[in-house]
Amino acid sequence: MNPEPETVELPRDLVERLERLDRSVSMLTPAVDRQVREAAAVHFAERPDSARPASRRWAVLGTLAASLVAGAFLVRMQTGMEATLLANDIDGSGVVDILDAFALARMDGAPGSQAEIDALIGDIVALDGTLP
Amino acid sequence: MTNPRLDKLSDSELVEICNSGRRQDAVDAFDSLYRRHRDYVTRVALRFCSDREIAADTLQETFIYLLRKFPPGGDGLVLTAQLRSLLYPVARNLTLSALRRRHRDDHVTEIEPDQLPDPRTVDLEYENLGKAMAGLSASHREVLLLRFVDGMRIDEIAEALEIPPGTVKSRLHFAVGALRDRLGIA
Repeated sequence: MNPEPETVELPRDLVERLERLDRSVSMLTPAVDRQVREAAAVHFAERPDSARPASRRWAVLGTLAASLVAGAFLVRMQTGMEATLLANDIDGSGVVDILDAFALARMDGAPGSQAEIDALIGDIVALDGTLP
Repeated sequence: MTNPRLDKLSDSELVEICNSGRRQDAVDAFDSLYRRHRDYVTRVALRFCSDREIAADTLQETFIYLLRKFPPGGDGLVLTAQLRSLLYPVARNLTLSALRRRHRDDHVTEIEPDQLPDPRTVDLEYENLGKAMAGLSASHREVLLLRFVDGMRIDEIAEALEIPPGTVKSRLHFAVGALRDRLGIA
């Protein structure tokens, strides 16, 4: 005599009215938004940072400016690296990051084997575009 | 500060970044989870009380609870059902605890969920539906909202309310019948 609840249904229009009724009460929470984000920043503070130190970037630029030959060499390397990265740009965003690993994992019947995903993760840059 | 590209990811994928991503990625992923489910947690709190201060506290404490699930400090989180079935009991219990504290401060005896006043007796967009819902017991109202508004499966509702699936089925059966009766739906 157990009811079968998966078959217990309400008319669609009634469900839609219930949804609107539930959403009719809302509130803005800017203070909580800020506090939760600050709490997250504190909580994850011990994780490795994804940002490359600014001084290192300037050092790279200085090296480029000082030596044309070395600069050209670096540019060639950079071009080659970009080509590699863009080859793995699964979601077409222009940068390879962890989102591409998820996109690869989601592809249906795709070449998304675990080995390929692991290889991609090895090439990954952070979400802010910096190299690990 | 937020990263809109993360909004394309599923809850499970965001949780994975929170579990093991680098600092800024984890902060951004958690922020995406927060923005995605903020209104839901607030609405859950407001299902049990009309006090917006309590609802705001519930919102903050619910996500602090979730945050502590992630390393360091927590063991990490593996989603086996939708995230809402995890957030719901936390928000519900925090709201009820806050209400109980407030009633104790006011020298009122402890309350049970079934004794809670329905918060939607005024300012209803759909007065008849609001009255019909208010006329249901709190436990029946709760399973109706979880099933039809939140879209949870029976097993997810059972997990969220920590009751057997058979009890969910029974409550849902009688809740639908009672709502149909009150609205005059055959």
